[in-house]
Amino acid sequence: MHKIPLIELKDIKFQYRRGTEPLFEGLNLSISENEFVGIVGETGVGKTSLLYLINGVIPQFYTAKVLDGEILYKGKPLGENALGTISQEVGLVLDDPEAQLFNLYVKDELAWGPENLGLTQDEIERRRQEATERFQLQDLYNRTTYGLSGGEKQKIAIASVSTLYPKVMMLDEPTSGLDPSGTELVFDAVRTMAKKLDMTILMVEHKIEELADYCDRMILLKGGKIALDLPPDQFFEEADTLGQSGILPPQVTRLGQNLRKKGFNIHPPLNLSQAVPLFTNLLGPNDRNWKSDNLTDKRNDIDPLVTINDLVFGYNKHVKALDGITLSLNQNEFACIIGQNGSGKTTLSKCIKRIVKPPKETIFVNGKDIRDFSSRELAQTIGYVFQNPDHQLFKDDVASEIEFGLKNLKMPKAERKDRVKDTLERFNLWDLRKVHPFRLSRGERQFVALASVYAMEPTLLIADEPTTGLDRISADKLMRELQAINKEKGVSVVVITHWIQLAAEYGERLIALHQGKVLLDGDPRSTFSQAKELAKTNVRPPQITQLCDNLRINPLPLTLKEAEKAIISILNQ
Amino acid sequence: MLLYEFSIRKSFLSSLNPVTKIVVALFYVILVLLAPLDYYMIIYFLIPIIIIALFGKIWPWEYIGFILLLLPMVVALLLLQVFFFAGEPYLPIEIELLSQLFGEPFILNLSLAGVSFGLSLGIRIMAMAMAFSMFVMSTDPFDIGHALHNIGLGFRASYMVGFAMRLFPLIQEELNNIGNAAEARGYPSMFSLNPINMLRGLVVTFVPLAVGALKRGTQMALAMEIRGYSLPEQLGIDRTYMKEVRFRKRDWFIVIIFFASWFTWIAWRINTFLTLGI
Repeated sequence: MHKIPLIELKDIKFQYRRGTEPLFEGLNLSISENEFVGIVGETGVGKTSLLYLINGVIPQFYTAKVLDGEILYKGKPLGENALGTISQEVGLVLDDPEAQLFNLYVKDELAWGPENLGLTQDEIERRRQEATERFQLQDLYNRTTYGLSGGEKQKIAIASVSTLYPKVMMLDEPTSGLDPSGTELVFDAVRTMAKKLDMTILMVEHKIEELADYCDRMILLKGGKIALDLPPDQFFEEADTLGQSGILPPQVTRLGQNLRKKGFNIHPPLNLSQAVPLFTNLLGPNDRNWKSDNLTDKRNDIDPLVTINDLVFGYNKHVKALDGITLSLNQNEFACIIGQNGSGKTTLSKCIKRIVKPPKETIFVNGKDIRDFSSRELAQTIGYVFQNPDHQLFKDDVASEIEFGLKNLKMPKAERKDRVKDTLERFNLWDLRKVHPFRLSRGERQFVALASVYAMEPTLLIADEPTTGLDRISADKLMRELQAINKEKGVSVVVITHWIQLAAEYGERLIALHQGKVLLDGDPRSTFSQAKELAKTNVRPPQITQLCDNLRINPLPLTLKEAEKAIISILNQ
Repeated sequence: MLLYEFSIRKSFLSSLNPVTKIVVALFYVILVLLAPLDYYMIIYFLIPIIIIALFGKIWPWEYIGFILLLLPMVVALLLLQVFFFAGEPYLPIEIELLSQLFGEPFILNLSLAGVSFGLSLGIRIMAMAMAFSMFVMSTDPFDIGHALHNIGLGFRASYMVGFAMRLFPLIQEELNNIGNAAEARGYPSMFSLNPINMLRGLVVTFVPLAVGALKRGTQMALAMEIRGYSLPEQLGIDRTYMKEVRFRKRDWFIVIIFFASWFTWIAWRINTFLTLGI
């Protein structure tokens, strides 16, 4: 007998009420029970909208100009059921955990959904306790929702939806902005929940390596249709199609694929646990040392620009966000600050920019105490790109936005005009110069924010998680621009990031913070070589570096190219 | 502590029913409005601070920022009264620059009585604000909604009351972030002591704050809907409450003590008014 799919989308055509063209046209998708399905695609392709269609958010909450085709759940249309009713079958976790926690206490948040269903107090308590155990929330149970870390908030958001006992759980970028340990925690919790409750999972995510590790099936959304729908190993074989959407297979998979192209008889692995035995066999007993001319430490030990002496800072007297930071940031340097959520990365950068007031005589920029800078001098010397671009866009069009800072610096009009023009051209924003910044995509808004700070020609540019919410293509574009600013203009750049591959590829220096202290500070190779110390920060080296570290390859490769070269070199010995 | 953020600590004050606290706060405000405008007004300002400290375990230095925020208004009131209050004694001050400009002595009569009146007026406003702070700082915002639901308001409307108060510190935090971002690009700080700069700093935050609030509000509304916020009304079912907000003996005790004191005070005021005509 033919088994009815749990969810079926047939020939869907959809256009938002204010959309200029259809987002989906002829989209077909079928999901079976107990599957873990990963959905990927470039930014703006409609991944979130697909989830909204499945559980009725479109057209019930967001209206449609065009919506044709059939959306079936267990062979029947979900129809006009209330969203709350649908959520008991198809739950949805949104990408912003802040927006999903509206109660004061964690325990109240867990009970809120079942309370709305009018269940008995005993049943609600049972569900609440079950979710607490499943997601290991015992320590958080009595805490307030706004005092939690990003990972904890996301875990609560997922647990709160799970208490509705949906058959299908859809998650929209649940690990965005989380450090690696937070990411792993969320993925593990979702998998455990899915197994225990016989749940089907649909997850939209940019973190390909984790998806590859957890999914049964992966879907690529492209051009309003499902372009690929395959198990992970076959999915990543379609490198060309994925590349067009800016999707890169996991590093170990790409390493396997590249070596296979060069004639090695290997089946590309999907994750680290498959890769280690595979490459151990491949390398055999060969000496794992290799030589390369191009491996130089990238750090420039030249004149210090910022000197920080024993910086201790806390938002209240009970908790020290920074606990004795001593370091220098050098001229013309590209440094990345890494560390788990809450390690003090943003606080440190805010102290340097004096967004929060550090104690006197703890931070010096070009030998002058940061506390003695005038506001204008500070704005001119240190540029700061905030994590959320929407917090730093004030004007009605892109050109005025770039001009905003220059006006504040009282720059003469003619000079200002030239500077705005140069900046617009440099960042490819000329065609968008008259567009309202809030009409742009997140990636474009982040570029406008960066361009606005760049135009002020600071000596030091700090970017706080500038790639949050961006796909790999946009993230690379932004990091390349920061690199160019550093190389061409001699601006010292400090990037705070959780995206460790980007830190490894672009950073000349990594500063790892842990509990408000500098735990590691050096070039990426030496930092990643200290695996035990690094583990304290819950930050893991890039997948390829972890693999090479496991294989005891020396010196330790940081990028895919280096790893490939190292393995070929070792095999040719 | 952010302005009007609920202070999370167990105390006698936090254990009271929100209705008790709001009624007490409201009637305290009436009492402050009826009190004579003199230097004794400072006592009416200090009473809520002492109650918050003793029974709410929230110390003044934790909300000093809120008190400081009220100061510009007090100063403005004071200046208004000093310049425009009609009452003796006056302190004549000659503004030499203007005297030279007009060719005759330019004398400004500053009212010393206005100083006393202006200060009392400012402290009265601070005392009223503290009365409401006593309520807000010691009350779980959702308990307010729950209490309103208990006295007949529908769930959706009553929940929104609590939710709005929960949102207040979030918006305030967002405002701080946006203000910091503007200042980082050389714009005047909204925390500036210069009132013009402060105003400019505030105005520039309007668009990003509104856009942020709209986005977050939409996301929150969606998140609430998909967790069944409208279900009780749509399906006509009774919503379950895990937490009970009841009017207990201690609430009755406070209400009785407070109103006994309140009426005694009113009686004393009427008596003073009738006998002394003040």
